[in-house]
Amino acid sequence: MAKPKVAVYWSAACGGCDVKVLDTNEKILDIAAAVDLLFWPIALDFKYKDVEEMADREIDLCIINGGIRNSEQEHIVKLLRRKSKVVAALGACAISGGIPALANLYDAQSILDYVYHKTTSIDNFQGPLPQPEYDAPEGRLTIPKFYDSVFALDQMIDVQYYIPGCPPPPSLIVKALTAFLQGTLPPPPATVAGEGSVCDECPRERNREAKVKKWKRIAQFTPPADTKKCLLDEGFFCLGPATQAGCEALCIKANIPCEGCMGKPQGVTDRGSKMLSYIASLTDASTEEEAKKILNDVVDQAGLLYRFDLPKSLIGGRRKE
Amino acid sequence: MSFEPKLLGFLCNWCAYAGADLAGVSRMKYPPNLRIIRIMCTGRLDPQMVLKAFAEGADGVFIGG
Amino acid sequence: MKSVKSMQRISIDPITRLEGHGKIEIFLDENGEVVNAYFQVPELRGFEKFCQGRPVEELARIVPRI
Repeated sequence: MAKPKVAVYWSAACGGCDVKVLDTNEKILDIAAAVDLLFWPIALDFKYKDVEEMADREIDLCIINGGIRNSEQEHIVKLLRRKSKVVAALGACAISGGIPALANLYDAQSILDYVYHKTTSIDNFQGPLPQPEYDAPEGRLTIPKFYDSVFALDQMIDVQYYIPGCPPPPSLIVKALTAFLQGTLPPPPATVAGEGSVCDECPRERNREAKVKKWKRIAQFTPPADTKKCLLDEGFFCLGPATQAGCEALCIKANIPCEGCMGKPQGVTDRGSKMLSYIASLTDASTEEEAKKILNDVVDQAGLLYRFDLPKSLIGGRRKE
Repeated sequence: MSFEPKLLGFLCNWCAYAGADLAGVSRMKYPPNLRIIRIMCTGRLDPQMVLKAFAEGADGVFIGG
Repeated sequence: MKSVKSMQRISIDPITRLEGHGKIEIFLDENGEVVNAYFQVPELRGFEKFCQGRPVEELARIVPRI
């Protein structure tokens, strides 16, 4: 039997997901031996032209990491969708926009203006902005169009499988690839992750009586002598209860509150508001004014509650006039 | 044309909804802009529902309970 | 400057085996000599903009994903 054909592509991603594929350590050798890699920009020398020349549905599994930031990425993921039987979204960016989608709080114009005109390390004295087309003396040069917002992968193409995390734990990548090779993947769409929320995997214990008078920043963190106490009860913004399990509470075990990279748990539409409701029930306030005061002290609520999923959230991003 | 807001009401089964019911039985009228959803308790109301109401075009959300 | 028509063009798209996105366009004259080459980065995220206003300790968790 011919080996299954696999392609890996990154769009608006940092490369961390690709590194995590390599972080499967010695298993990467088994993976490389079991599949035919047709396209993988970070590791192999294939060009977009090679993908265009493939037959439709030639790729058995296409793993895409990264959200959609510009027209080139949209074009390539749509091309890969046509050439693939199964598409899997790898990592928070592909699933829900990820960190680059924090840019959805601003419009394209203000980002371009800041990056190319106002940043202190920029000396752009003539002030041009990148143009999609430029007529060089030798011929026309093109770069992709910079979109106004970042999109999650499934807002552009159909996605069958989701492997969450920022970056996804290698154990999940191995689990997904093994299931793919053995043909035991669940019926799509499905998420390859743990059961329940991060709290289910967290070794700390909740105190059901706990109330929080003041929400603290991580900078105020001094590891409590008792590492058994729940970080939320201690007043740290830990997104564990509103985050999909599967990471084995890696950050919390290192005394860092969960930032929610594994994405929303099953059955949740809008993760930030779900978390907000949890925060509200923990906050120790008897009047509305008091509650407002305690919660207004939290710096950057949007960045804490919606760090990884602005495009897929109900609030979406900046206010559109 | 004057602005006709679309309002969505989440009413608690035990108080506000019973009140709305009684208003109906007493043949009192309220404008049709308000669409009421009965919930078993306002404690069941999730902020997600309020955001979803606004996302799907409600101009205002009324929570009674 | 030679006319545009006679120029042969080699596109390397994307450049591979490195972290990041890039594209190189090389222009050759009729003798196959390189006239000019352009390196393009078709990618912008805007971290400079959206990191503003966030707590400084959170940046240590945001910018590694650049």
